[in-house]
Amino acid sequence: MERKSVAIVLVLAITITPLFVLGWQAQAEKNLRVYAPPWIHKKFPLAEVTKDFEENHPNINVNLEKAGKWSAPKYITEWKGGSTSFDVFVGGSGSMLGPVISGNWLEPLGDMLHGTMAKDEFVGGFLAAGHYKKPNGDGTYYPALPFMGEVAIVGVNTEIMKKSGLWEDGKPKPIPSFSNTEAFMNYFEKIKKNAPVGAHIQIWDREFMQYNYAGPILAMTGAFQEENGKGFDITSEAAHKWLGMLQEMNEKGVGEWVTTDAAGYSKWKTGASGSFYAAQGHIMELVSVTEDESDIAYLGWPGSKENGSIIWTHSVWVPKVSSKVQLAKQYIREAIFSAKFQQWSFNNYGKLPVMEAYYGDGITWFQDQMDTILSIANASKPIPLYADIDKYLDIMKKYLVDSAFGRMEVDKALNKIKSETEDLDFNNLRAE
Amino acid sequence: MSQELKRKLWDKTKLFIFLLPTLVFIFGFIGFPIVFSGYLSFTSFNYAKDALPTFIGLQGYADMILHDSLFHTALLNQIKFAIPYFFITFFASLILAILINELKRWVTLFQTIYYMPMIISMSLVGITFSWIMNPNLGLFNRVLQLVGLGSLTRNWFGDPSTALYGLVIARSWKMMGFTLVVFLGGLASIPGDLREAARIDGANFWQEVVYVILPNLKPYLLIGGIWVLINSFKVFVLPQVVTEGGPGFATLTLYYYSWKLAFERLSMGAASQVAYITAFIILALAAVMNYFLSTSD
Repeated sequence: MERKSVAIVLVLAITITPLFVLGWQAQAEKNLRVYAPPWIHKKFPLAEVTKDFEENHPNINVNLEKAGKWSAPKYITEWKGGSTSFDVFVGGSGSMLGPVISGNWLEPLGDMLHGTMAKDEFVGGFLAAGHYKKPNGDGTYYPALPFMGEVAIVGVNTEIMKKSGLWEDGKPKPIPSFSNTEAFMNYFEKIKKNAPVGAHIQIWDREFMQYNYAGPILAMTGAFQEENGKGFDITSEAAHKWLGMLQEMNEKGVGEWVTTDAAGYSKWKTGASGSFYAAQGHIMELVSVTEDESDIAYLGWPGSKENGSIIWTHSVWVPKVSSKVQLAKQYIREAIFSAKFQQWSFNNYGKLPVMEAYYGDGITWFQDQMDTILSIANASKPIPLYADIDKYLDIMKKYLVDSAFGRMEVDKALNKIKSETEDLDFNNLRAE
Repeated sequence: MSQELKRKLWDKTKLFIFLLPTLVFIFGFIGFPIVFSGYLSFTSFNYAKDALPTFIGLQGYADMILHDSLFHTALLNQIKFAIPYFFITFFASLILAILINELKRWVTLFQTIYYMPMIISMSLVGITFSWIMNPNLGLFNRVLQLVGLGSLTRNWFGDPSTALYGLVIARSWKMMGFTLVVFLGGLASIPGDLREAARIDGANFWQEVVYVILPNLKPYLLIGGIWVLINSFKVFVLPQVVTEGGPGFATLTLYYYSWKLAFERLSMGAASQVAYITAFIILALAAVMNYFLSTSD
């Protein structure tokens, strides 16, 4: 009988204990909780600026945690129940934040844009990437503040460019115009002869696919969307031309198309590839291997200095249900928008600061490339965030990637995209 | 209340208390999700934007089956995956089981060796095969080069024409051990007299297999076959870990598409529709298999 009673108590304990633990955990969190994915912890001095913040405010304790793989449903479930695991989330691209912004789950941060963070203190279009229409249609707001920027740009390996005879007056010769296809291809053919791992690399995954396709069309025409705003340009002569050129580059072997970002970076970091169309920060990472910043230089696609390129950002944001909104804003202003946070990342990983003031003192490398990068960044545009962006990107990926790899004819791919995306909601969540 | 009644009542109460954790688990984590996702499959429900699901009846299923090109891609990929996976896993484990059963010694050793991949997690299998089939450093391409087949080397998971079949090999390698053990169990249950009688009647090894072993193995073939069949459609971890459904959508499977719908697009209704269609396909195929392999006696 005694053994049975013990067993019953144990069974009840096993059933009830988790409920108590969950309740206790909910009560225990009293401090500012900051979440960031592992790559932010690695590429930004988050721990350092947090320590500085705590030293400046001895009564505040910040719990800094590494966020797991992003899962919107997980957090939305919490928010629907009125609680949140974190007060500040450092990181998040437009496509990642789309669902939570359209669901109106984020705290407006526009009231922070004054003083050192006034709108005109930001670089080019970076702040625009955080400017959205309100979900109820009543005006616009800033539910997330971009704290770093990236520009899609062509990076070249200077040694290979010199060997290929494409180096003049201390800089790479410009890429010939898209209208002169033969000269354009010859340019990369020359690089190919001296680049064992490929003349030109592009990453054709779901994210970079957008930049690979839209960037050159923007450089050619000054626009990359359909005139009616319903998706990327898939009908113009420029769209057909560029997708055809992508196929030709792949067929001729001057284009090394890879399907994951890891594959792209590993090829580029061998130092045996001629050029790479990617984020300027990722291109700079070659220097972390060779330790010589003269190993790379930047180029724009023909026309990009005038018409711009594609930019994207990562943002910091606060869930509406957080009970520490004011404290969160203070942390964002003092830690995330500090010179230390933004310049360290540029100096180590090439992530562009979003504040113009941070491009001067404190920047330790690539000063000679700043003009090229900033002139392209200032004229650049973010990718629109359509209401049905996830479905749209899936359909684009299905046909665009196949076409770029030469597995589907250009006309067929573009027609398929057109017919299958006609009914999608192309309302741009971003303020225009 | 009599003492006897009190005792019976106490016994029932104890039974209920002991069953409570299991019941909570079954209803909370299996029963409720099945019923609720069944309901969701008849609704349109964006988890971020909609407060409540909107009932749309069979419209979602019709749209999914008739108009969703990614669903068509996922279904086609699933079939392309399931057929070689079924044949490799089922027949290879059957052949191996028959051969191991013929051994006089080391049956347990071989059984253990072939079962070992079963205890490795699927994601680890994915990572391991990513390395084995790495285009530059992988063992597979290196072996091809060493035996003079260098022209066949390629980026196995980066090439849309081979990526899916690379996943088939990885999954078959992992899952073969279970069916092998099931078949070995079945082979051990066949009375030795039957095979001996066949041999006395002049049957060779092949005839023994066809006329004695396989007919007596039918219940085990059914269990093993249904297991393999179910697993040929439950494909999620490998494409997620190794290829992320790519290149393009070359390895997008039904389960992975269901996950994408739920956790990328937050479209819970559509995700439930794909999950239920997949479950229906599995049940239908299992019924067909049951019809052909079930023993009537």
